[in-house]
Amino acid sequence: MNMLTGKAKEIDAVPTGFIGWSLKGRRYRKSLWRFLRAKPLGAIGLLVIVLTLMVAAFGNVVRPYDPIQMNFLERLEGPSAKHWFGTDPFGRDVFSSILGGARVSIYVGFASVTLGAGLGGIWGIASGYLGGKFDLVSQRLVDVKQSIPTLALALAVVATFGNSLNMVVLAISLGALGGAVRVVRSQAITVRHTTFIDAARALGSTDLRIILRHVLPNCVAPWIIVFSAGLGGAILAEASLSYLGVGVPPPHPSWGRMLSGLGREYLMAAPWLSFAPGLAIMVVVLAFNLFGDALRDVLDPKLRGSGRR
Amino acid sequence: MGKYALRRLLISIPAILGAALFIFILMRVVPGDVAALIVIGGTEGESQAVQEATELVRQQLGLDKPVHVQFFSWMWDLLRWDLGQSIWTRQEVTELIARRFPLTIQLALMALFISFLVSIPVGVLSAVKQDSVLDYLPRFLSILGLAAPSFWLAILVITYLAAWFGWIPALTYTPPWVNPARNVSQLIFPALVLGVSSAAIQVRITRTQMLEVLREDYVRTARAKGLREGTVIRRHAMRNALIPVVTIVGGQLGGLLSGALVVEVVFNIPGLGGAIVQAVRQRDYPVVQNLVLLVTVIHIMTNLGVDLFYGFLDPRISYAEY
Repeated sequence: MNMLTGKAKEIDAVPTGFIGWSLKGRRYRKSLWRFLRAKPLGAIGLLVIVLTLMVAAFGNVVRPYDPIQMNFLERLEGPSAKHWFGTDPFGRDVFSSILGGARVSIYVGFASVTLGAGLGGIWGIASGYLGGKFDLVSQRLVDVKQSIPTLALALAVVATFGNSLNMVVLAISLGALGGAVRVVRSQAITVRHTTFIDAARALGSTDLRIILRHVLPNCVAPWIIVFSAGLGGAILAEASLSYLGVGVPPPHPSWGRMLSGLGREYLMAAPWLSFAPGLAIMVVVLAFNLFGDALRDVLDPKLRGSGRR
Repeated sequence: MGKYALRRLLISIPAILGAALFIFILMRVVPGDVAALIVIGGTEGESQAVQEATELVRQQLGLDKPVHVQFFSWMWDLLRWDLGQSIWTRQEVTELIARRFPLTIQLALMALFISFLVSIPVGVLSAVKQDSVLDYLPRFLSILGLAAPSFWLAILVITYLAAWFGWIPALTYTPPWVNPARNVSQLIFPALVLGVSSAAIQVRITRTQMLEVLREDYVRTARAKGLREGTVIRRHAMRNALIPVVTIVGGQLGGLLSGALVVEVVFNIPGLGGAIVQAVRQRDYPVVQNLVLLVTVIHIMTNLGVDLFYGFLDPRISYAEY
């Protein structure tokens, strides 16, 4: 069953050819077009993601005001045509701060999931392909890691290493690690038992060659699913840590911190201060979730409808 | 069943030990930091006096001993329920847990209960009325609920909803045994906020499970023998569909506990959340280490409980294989 649209018939409409997608030419464009048509919600998510990425990249150029420029003549103004999301007690434009925060959110989200799911993917392939004692030990390690709730683990990391930008990335990446190991490992095990691996081995291929040429390409689809599913959670985790005051440190603007500092102080007097950053977090996370769900439906028929766990 | 439960309980001991070791190593990667932090607030110090003072603090905290000795002495202390003191406030960690933990666990359980109460009927209805407004609306709300940061929802609730009801975050907490009604009214909004994301997950899973079960042969049989639709759904479909839901719900308790940490901070609830965050900011490692382990142990234990309950719910699952 399809979680997002709930329509069984769409399963047939989804191009199975997407699994063997190629990055060149018409075929790629065609599968992209099919994806957009079969998954309208995923397409909306993708659109928001692309917009956010552009804001993160070019936010400095398109923002209407300098987010740290104070203007005491325009303190605590409500949303208006001039200041879309109002101004803070120092007369700084909230919309411009939101644009600045996008860069940090996107950076932390992508960096931590790339690190966590990347290492997890390599580990999962090694564990699933090699099997034996290595697999046994690494699975117990993953079990132990998974038994520690993500936020608690992130807090422990930050307590040890402090909360610099990169330590926050490290703390959040651990959350994506375990899931990636498990998913990629199970795929690697499936692939290992196929006849084409036997054939490759019979031809005298080394383990490394088999992993790189045969196992790895077949683990890409579940890996992409883990990756895209982790992004929304990572962005939420960054916002939570920053809200608690142990996340991304100043001077980096952060949506989470915007909510805890002035937003909290001026909760009643200037509700737009806390409304705007929260809305930004929700829209971006929602976009990543919608896109991730759609991608999972298309890439992995087995997982379809299993819901986000 | 009893034998299986015992074996599972025994298996969870190495899991807890492993998690403890993991947390311990993590907290010890930068061992000198804590002592230096106490002496000079974390800045680099070169003078003789500073180094001597740091060394003294290190001795007092037992940080000068070999790492494995430190670990085993921590384990021994844990067995005796002696969790040490906060570096800064000298407060016993056991006392801190005794005072703050009940509030956190109550909040998490209330959130779990509320979300379960709301999401099961909604999920079932959503599946039964597939592709109608009653299906689209809950699904829309549930993807929204998954994306909304809980601390932001909490802020919105305090600003609008709670203000509308004339509710403000309490300054002191009434224990349930003193005045149950007051206690519940103090925690109801925080629990509501905390329950949103777990409810969102539960609705989605209940719906998927129901849709699957409704296509099963035994449901068709039940309909064919002339049972009313309500009976088919309640007695045949729901009972089977809810089994996996229960596992998910149980597994959420660990997540709810960490979620409670954040929500507590917004609502100024004196639970574990404030304590952990404070300890993290001050790098109060005995507190962080023990509280993170506490949350982990509860997570492991609830998962164990859920696994055992699962077999009780679904007799088809045989424990003999394990």
